[in-house]
Amino acid sequence: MGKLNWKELEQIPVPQGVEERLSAKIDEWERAEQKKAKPRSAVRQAARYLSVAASLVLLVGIGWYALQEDESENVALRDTYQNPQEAYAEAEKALSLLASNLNKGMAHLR
Amino acid sequence: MKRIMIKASLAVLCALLSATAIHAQVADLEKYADTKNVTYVYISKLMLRMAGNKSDISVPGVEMQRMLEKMDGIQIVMSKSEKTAQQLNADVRSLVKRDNYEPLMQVDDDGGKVNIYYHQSKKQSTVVMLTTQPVGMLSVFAFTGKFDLEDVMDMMVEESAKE
Repeated sequence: MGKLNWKELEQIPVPQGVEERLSAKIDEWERAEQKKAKPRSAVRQAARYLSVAASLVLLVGIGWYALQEDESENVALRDTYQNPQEAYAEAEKALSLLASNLNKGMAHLR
Repeated sequence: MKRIMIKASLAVLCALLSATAIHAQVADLEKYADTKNVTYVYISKLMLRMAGNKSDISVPGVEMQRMLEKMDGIQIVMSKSEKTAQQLNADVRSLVKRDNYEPLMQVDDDGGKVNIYYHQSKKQSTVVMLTTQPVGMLSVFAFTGKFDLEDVMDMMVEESAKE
């Protein structure tokens, strides 16, 4: 292919209205592109940040709750008796106290 | 992604609910587990089941095996000083008022004043709480489980039948 001769190219006649048509086409493409890449509204963005913040709060809350539970489990949820017989004896005493007091109370009504 | 988030949230919720469900104790009394001058006893559901299976001792008027099967735990708090007795008394009063415990019975005898309260809610277990007040002391017995007022009243019926 020979060397491009600009002077010869400039002499080729340009069809009428090509410049306007090209310009209109470029404007149309630009508008279409802008429509596609529409920026997120402030409300949507705020909702996104809020959901992230809420997730963090939830995670921290669950962690804190779990820690509290563990702490209380160490003492309050630990069985006082490791021997079932001892536990039974204590349960028996407690239930006996409840039954005798219920009966004492009812005795006054009989 | 949304589905994963929803599933994860549901799983966390279920875990929290089940943790609450197995927490079969009167929470207001738990703090006395490591308080000075207080004897705190906790007998869990598992220990009650194990004990119930091994023993043949019985309490007059109470069908132990049946009651133990329905119980989720027993808490006993005994104050050893007047100061802790006052604090425990205040806590019990506020618990009774806040959670609408029904006074079931009040017995005054030589050993002091005895109060029995009953509390049942649709979601939680039933609690029968007994407080005894010898002079300057206070003991609280909280029986938690899936029993109803009828089971409690049966204790009296069976006792009176024996008399």
